[in-house]
Amino acid sequence: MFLMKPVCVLLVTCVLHRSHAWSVNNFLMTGPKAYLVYSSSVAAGAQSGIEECKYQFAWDRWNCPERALQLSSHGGLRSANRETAFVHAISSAGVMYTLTRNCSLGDFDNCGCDDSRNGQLGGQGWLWGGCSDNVGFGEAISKQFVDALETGQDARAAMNLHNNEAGRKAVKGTMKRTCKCHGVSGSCTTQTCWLQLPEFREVGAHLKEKYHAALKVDLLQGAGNSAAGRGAIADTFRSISTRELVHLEDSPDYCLENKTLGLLGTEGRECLRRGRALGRWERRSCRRLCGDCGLAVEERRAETVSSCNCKFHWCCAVRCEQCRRRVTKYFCSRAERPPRGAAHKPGKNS
Amino acid sequence: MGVGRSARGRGGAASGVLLALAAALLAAGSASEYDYVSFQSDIGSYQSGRFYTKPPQCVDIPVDLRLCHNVGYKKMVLPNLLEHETMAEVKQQASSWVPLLNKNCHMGTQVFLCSLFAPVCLDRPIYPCRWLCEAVRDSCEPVMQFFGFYWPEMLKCDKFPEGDVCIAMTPPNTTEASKPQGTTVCPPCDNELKSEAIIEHLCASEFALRMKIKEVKKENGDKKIVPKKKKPLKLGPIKKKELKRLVLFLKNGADCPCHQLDNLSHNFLIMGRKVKSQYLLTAIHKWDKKNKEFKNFMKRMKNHECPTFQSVFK
Repeated sequence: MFLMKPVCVLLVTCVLHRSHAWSVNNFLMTGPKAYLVYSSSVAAGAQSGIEECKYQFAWDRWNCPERALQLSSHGGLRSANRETAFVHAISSAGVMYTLTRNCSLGDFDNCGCDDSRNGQLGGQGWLWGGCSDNVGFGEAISKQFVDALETGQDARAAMNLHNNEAGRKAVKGTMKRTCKCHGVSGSCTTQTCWLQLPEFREVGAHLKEKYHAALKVDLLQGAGNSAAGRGAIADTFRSISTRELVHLEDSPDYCLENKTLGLLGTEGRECLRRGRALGRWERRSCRRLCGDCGLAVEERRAETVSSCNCKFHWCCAVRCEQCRRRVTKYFCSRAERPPRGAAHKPGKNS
Repeated sequence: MGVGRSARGRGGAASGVLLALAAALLAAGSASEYDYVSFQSDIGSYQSGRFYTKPPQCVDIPVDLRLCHNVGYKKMVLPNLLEHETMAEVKQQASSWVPLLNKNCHMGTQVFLCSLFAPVCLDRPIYPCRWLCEAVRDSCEPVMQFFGFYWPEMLKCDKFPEGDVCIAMTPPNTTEASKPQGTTVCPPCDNELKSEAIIEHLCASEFALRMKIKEVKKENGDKKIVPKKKKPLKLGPIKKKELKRLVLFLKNGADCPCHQLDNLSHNFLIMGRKVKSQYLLTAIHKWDKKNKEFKNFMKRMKNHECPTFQSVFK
């Protein structure tokens, strides 16, 4: 499965401190007054990160549950596992992405397109031009807002800052050059190109891969509030590339309900089977969510109505028929099934 | 930092005289009553190119979008299906297609082009039918080649749908009323003498000259035109030292009739473009100060500004 690559630092003690409550509202409260103009973009960006998290983990045991995030921000000790790493990275990426995009849309008075290269020859037959997304701006503002939430000096804060940076790097790393042909009659004799954000889904997919390859950092007892301890933490994190996600703890067993951690378990979850358009991860979701968790798969039949046989009529309308279709959905249910073997390891295939 | 991006462009001047509907379009019933369907924005369906651009809007087709203002519906989606983000950009890119439209090479040319340049407002993007694209391409590319153009990548037919949800005015089986073959005129010589059309052509051409013609002869399947006196109206790619030795070619035009060249004693308005090392003629008019339309053109030309891509794109 996914190789765990622990990075061990001997003789360092990690004393856990209560981390600051993490929520969208905190984004709005921590920025200096001058940055109030960015508040709505920051909030929208963090929200888009959470929504992308739900999409990327829709068919995982841990599916980015709202309750888990809320619970841990209400006094519970916040976890420092692989899933926490992803949440920080995707939220930071969402904020940076939204700020950059809104800058290009002309929403802010004090920023605009990155035209530093406009007019320059970019390559054979094309020039830089148009509106390159000002990713430097989005990165700088995002960093100020998001990293300001980490005021601690401990390993947990260092982990969060690292993962925030990984999220921002994911946005930069997925940017692409886009071009327009604007010669006469659509010819491509003249082309103008600019750097453009990808769809945010690409950023999410990139970070999902990083999630699977996240590095576990082991800080042995001894680190803490001492100056030497903080130095050891900084040295440890400095040695890890900020393109990688890092975590400090193993993940709990997401098969089971755990009210303390705000986990619902996989009983009652929907899963997917046998679809031509399904990816490999989706096709195996029933095994991952139900079978491996000691649950049976229950079939439920339903009927849907949707448009079909659409035709365009001049001018101008599209007319469709309404077709009924039977669909089968699958859910995890408790049923007569032998208990799971003890060999199951929590944290894998979460 | 720079100011937030805003579109700046110069659209063509508003026209006092609308172009008459093309005869083929009239025959096909394009003048039928407009059936407006309310536009519902489904952002996901319209994402293309810079996908997060401002949400698609249903806007009036402006009178000075010459390619499409009489297509048969009155509103269009912006950004369009060619990823043009502003109306100024649409106008600038559409302007070079207007001369082709005036050639009447296929009855479906306008419907095809406008389904992309000025897509109709519906709850989802509707692309032109592949068969319509192929019919227009097969009829019009030979005409385009007279001007040194080939069918562009952005209009490649295999990217368009073959099903029923696609734009076409007539059913596929209709026999096309194409021009009779026997009386084919050289396309650059087959021009409507209307000030509006001449202005459009001027904007679509790279250079324009007022000149007299010394002689016309055949060369490698082209008509070779040797000027006598030349006065540039629009130099474009022509360098001043080249102007002296300038020779023009009527591409593939060795044997097609061009009535303007029957009498060489006049001054001519000649427009063209450069393709590799050849200067191709794209339009020729007799310089006739007594003609009402031509006089109109001369007056309008003085203060008419053609849209340029650089201004559109900023």
